[in-house]
Amino acid sequence: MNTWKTLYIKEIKDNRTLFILLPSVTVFLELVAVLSFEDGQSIPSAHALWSVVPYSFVLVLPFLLIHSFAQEIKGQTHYLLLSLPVSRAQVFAAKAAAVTTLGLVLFALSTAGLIAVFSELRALAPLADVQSIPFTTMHISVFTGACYLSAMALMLGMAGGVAGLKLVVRRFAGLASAAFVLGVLYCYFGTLPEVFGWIDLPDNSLLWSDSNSGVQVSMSPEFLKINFTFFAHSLIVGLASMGIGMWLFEKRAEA
Amino acid sequence: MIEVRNLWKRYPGVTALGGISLTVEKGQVMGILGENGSGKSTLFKILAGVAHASEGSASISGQPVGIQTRRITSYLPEVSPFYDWMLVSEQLEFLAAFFPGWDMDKSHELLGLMNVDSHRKVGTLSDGQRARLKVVSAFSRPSELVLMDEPLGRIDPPSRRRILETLLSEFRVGEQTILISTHLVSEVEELIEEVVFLRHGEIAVSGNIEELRQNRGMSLSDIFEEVVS
Repeated sequence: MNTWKTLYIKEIKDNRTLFILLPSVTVFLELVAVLSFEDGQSIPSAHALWSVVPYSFVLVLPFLLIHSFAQEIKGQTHYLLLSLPVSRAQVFAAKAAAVTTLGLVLFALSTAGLIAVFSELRALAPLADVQSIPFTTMHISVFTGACYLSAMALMLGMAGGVAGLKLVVRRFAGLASAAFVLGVLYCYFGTLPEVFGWIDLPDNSLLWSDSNSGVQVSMSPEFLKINFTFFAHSLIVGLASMGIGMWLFEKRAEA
Repeated sequence: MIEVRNLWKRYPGVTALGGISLTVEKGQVMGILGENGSGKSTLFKILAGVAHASEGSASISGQPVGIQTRRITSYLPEVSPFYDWMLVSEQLEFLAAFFPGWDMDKSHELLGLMNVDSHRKVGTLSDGQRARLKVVSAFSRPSELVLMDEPLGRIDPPSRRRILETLLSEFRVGEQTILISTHLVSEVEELIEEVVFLRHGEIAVSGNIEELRQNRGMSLSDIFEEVVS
């Protein structure tokens, strides 16, 4: 087995409780949402709203990444990790990849549930005398994907940066971490207008003419509009922040 | 085998190593002796590649300490570095993935000798058994250098000497260079050939054990007492 795979599987097993718990809670909430529809009803149950809650689990991911580094130091297992004949960047990347995997699994499950709820809603539309719903499962997937992955990239990037920073700053590490996060957010929002000027990526309205479910689109679903420049900017800032953390870990991590 | 030149390690407010220079020949068994806080563990951490020197250089087999030297070095830190949630066998398999030449049969033979059950979780082992597991992990592969930082500290006194003797006589691979740090001088006195006494991060006394004994007319323990005082 190669070293990368070994480290990655170790990280998955190390966080197995959350890797089981969060997807299970997601599936449970989605089932509650889907099963809340009753035959013949014309108004969806309020329980259908539970289908969007699992997206908030993305907030757990940065804490999980930082916790993963902190646990190594607390358990003194960083002695073992740092003495392995692999680059520290590889150790860092394995941790980030494991948490990203959990994020992607949660996204896939959440979106599958949301699409199931959406299908139920579309079936209810004629009963409620509502026009055909003007967006498709692809619109939902692209919109939620762009939002979720943007948030995940930015937050995991900041978490990676904080994890690296904590190895350098021994005193006032919490303060330095807060300053780092605020700095990244300042750069992120401060450069957003310029980036929109530099990069002219299309938005997802291009997809609106494509209807993979056969539903005729009679109006623009403006509330699902998202510019891909926003997504690209989040990805770049997140990766840059993660890169800082990885560099600090490579250069400064020690037992 | 090991070349250490003007090695410094500074932590905020503390100088752990104060410019030490040291040469260890291939195949030597050397004791690094000194009281707590003398810089033994810091020296081992730098040689094992888990800490960075503030100044100076350290090389193993002609290569600066890094990924290549970590491949040929077995490091037993003072602490237990194992994952509590892993089974003993899983822990050894995890390590085996990183070190070509890992001998799993030898691992199990050593586990038997050390009386450690491979089916138990590391978290359920006593401190002494964890210390034994460290020894198993260090001698299960043909590394060129073994760094043993206080290897006997948590093992019960009657077993310490016997375990070390068995390891060096039966499980040492070829001309392995072995560095043992300890403050239990009497338990390694008969096993080591060369000795370095560290005091406040600097080398106080060093040399061949026999020559030191003859020149000073005292035992190693007495020399240690003299250095410490």
